[in-house]
Amino acid sequence: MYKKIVLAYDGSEGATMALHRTAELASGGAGVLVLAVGRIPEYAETVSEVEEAKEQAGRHYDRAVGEAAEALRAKGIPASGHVDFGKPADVIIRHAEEIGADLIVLGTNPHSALKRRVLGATVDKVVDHAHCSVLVVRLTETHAST
Amino acid sequence: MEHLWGDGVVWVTLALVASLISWRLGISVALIELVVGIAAGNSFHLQITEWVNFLASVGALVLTFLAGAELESATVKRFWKQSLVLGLIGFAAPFGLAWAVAQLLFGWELHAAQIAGIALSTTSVAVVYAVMVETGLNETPLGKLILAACFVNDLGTVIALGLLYTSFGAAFWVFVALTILAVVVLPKVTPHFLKKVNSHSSEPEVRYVLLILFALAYLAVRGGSEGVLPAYLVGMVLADTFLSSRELIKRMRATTFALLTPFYFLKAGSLVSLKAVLGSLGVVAALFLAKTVAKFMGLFPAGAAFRFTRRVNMYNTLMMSTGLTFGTISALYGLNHNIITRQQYSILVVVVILTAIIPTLIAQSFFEPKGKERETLFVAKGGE
Repeated sequence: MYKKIVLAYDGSEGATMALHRTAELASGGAGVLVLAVGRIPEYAETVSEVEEAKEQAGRHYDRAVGEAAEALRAKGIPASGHVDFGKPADVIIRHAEEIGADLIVLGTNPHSALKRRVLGATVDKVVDHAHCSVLVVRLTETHAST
Repeated sequence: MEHLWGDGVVWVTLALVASLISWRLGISVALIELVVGIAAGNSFHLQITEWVNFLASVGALVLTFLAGAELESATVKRFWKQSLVLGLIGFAAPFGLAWAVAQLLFGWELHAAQIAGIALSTTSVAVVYAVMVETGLNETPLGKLILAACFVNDLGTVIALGLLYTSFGAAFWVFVALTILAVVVLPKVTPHFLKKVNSHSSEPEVRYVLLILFALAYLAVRGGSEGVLPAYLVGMVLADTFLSSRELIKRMRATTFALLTPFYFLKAGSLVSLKAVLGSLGVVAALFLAKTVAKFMGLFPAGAAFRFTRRVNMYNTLMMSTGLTFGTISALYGLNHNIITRQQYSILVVVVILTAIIPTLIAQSFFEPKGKERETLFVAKGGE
């Protein structure tokens, strides 16, 4: 049904749920881009500050993304991993547009209302602005505790 | 001794709080330190001691050096014409207009108005670079050109700060001669020195850089100039050497960010009087507009002459309207040398903070080049 899927992945429990759901959806022959987005400091002081943040985030996510892509490939699903940097929602939407994705899959972890308001919600932004369908895989409390 | 440690606890607590907020919000620690400094300075009496002044001064010096050392000389060479024109206009237009507005509209003294011009003439390579990385533009010709132009823009600011208030006496010319010597000799000597000491655990490379910066800053101040000028120039000429020694940059950054720049930005923020700012919101707005309008009036036509598309041109103009580090350094220089009052300083720092945030937000929200536009410059310049 779907041809190109972008899976936003950060290695969290919610993202792992989304990975499983993506595997089900992609089993019909879709390709998957597993995308992790590292944050870099806004209004930076020096270029090297940005570079260092990139390196740290890259080290953190490279392995998680590689393992997720490998897990999909093991199921016969063509998948590749990529780590990019910036505001997560913007980066996810940009990559989805660039590869012409027809579905974005995101996992979500429970946040307090305050945290959601202060930090902004990636899911909300992607749902509002993506050019294609978006599937939000919700981590229920039952799953979170297991 | 008791006071020393007591003051130390207060300052380092503020530095740690700023660091934690920065980590949580994903916003640069420099901006958060400024804001925490403003909050602390307006809430209780924050003791600015001699040692705080020393650490803050060294912080500004090393930060300026690191800013210079981030120059990509190949990019400037590749886009020398565009970066030179855009950088010079990006400096001169807001310098002139902010100076004029401060002096003619608000009656600031000549030298105080010049400080306003210098502080608002800047751009911020680092702020722009972070946005470029977020949007993936840092690897495109457009992104590289904008960054190169920002370097030239800031060079104009640093030169203005270094030369505008000097008396051009004998000591100044000694400083000029030795700075030229350093600029010529250091790129040849430094790679050999770094190779020789080979990252020894006693950190000879960091001490070597500090020695150069301290010596040139001494000569600069003795000659009536300002230490950030040679720091930026030396950073620029050593940029290629440092580019091949990323570990050294990392160690210098660790030293600087942990111990030096927190004192600089916290101090710069703590000297801002919110009462003075609230009483001068009209001046803040006018100076903010002076900077952004001047950048627009100067850079937009220049971009059009280089055949930028409208969207790319707006994006470039807004990116070059940002500012942070050199803006605060210039304002603090003015305050330290009694060129501007505390009220004028407060106004300038708040305007600088606004210029770090507002143009960036507008550029990202409305003018970020998309799709083929990201490579438009490359095509427009005939594959240059």
